[in-house]
Amino acid sequence: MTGVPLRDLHACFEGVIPSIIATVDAAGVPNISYLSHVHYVDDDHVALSNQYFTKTSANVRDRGTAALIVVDGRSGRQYLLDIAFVSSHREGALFERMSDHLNAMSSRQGMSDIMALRSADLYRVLSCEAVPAVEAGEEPVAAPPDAGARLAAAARLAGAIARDADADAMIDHALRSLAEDFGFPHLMVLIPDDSGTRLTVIASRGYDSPGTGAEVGLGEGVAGTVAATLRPLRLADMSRGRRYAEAARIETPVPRAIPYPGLAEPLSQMAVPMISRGELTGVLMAEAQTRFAFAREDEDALALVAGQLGAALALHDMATEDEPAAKPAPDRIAGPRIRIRYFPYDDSIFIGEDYLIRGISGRLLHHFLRLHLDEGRSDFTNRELRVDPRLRLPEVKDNLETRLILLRRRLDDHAAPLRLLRPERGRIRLEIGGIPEIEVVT
Amino acid sequence: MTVLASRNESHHPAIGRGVGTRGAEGGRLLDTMVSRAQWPRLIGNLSPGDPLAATFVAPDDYRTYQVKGVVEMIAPATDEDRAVALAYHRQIHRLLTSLGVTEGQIRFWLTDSDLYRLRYRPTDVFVQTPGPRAGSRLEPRP
Repeated sequence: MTGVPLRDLHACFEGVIPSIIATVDAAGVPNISYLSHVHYVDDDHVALSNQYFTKTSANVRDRGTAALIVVDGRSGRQYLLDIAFVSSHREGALFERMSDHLNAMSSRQGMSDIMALRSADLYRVLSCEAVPAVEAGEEPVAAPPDAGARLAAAARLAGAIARDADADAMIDHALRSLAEDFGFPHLMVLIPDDSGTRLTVIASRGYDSPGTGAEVGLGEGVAGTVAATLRPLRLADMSRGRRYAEAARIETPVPRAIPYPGLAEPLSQMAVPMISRGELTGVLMAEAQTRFAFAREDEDALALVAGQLGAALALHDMATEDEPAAKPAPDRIAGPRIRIRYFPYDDSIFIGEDYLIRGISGRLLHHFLRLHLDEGRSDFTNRELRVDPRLRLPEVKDNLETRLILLRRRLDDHAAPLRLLRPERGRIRLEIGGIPEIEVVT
Repeated sequence: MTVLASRNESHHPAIGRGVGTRGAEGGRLLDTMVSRAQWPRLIGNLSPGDPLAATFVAPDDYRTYQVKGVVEMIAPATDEDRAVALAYHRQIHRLLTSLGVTEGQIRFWLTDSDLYRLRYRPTDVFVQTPGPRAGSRLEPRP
């Protein structure tokens, strides 16, 4: 290939500004069409999203070549590429990657039905040159992150996480480092619920309200899409079209809803799946109020950290625990009454009038409170919870540890008169600043 | 928004952007303004009688039409032509910025430098709006 190296054009390949493709038919008549996405494959190849440009496809099949204009979404600079058709892909990694991105962008614009990807068409780039800029003045554009440095930082973080003693600390460690060392301003970890239909925010950083326990439907927004497809997704400029709403953002109070902590108007978002043994264990998401906040190198770094975090969380759930300790003498706590309502149909818990949590985390808290009242106990072990039939935990992959982390964090966020402590691995201590009164609402 | 394509003698395509279009000769012809400095190959390929394609898209609702035509005349823009381009600049700038497009994303092509007028006779119009009718020919009213 001659001319400007393709890797220098990274901001042209984010699907922000439509590209233009021109072809010529057998009779010599030119054809010109907009094209939503040109994907960088390597320094000699790009892939084009083929959605509906049938005339272009026919001309390319006929002649094998086309001219392409791609636009740098940050600077507005334009580049002219001469390209030669190589192959068309209707499945596989390239197709899926482009399809996910297109679906995310077009659903923002309410056009997902008619923008579906038909094929990802691979082209060899013969030449690439800048279109002359005739007006002076160009906005300075920040250089992309150094790929090598990003990789090294991600590897360091993955190693550091692995040395953390418990899963809770790992999550905090990962979010702190992604914020401080990588400069990712707003971060979230979400975990799938047992029904496989929702994600729940288990930890966040950089938001006004942590939103622990807030929910997002599977397939909704960037995080929900990543959970549904198990593939990473990165959007570089979300300013145009309808906002890609994280549907769980709730403006009016609704029972059993915790306000979603995400940005109201993010301009950049990326999310990567946390996978262990082929199963989704969570989603790690970053967003920003600026365009092009995240480059491909950032996504790769996030994926590396998410992989480590996902595996570590799963391992913590499988780790064998110590034998239960002798039960300490129960402390009878004095203090104000704490009114707790428990709704068995969805295992939701309310403290006073405030919704706290639902699902297995809610069932666990009800269980702790019940045993506290009936037997005066405040200490529990993961092991006894796993075998207690009343809790109806799944026999395999019960995700007990992540449910406990969610519950602990939610209680802390809520400044509830209850706290969950983890004195050591596999142990849970309930601290209650009063006397609970449980009302079971059926 | 307007994009155009011409081709050279070996049928290799060239691309350019139009910055303003008006009807001419009672609507039988179209005039599209193009910066030769920015799109030298598009203009360089064109002489009277050569084929041209122009695609017009409304950025707010994606309505898109492609006009196939034959070039009638190419000439440096007159003051009147430049006024068409400058009015287009103002209009498209207002529209695009209202859609969230930034100044930097527009400035590179919204130019009247070395402006030329392409006059062409439309021979066909095709619907290119994304959707089931994309690619269909727009038939003249009976």
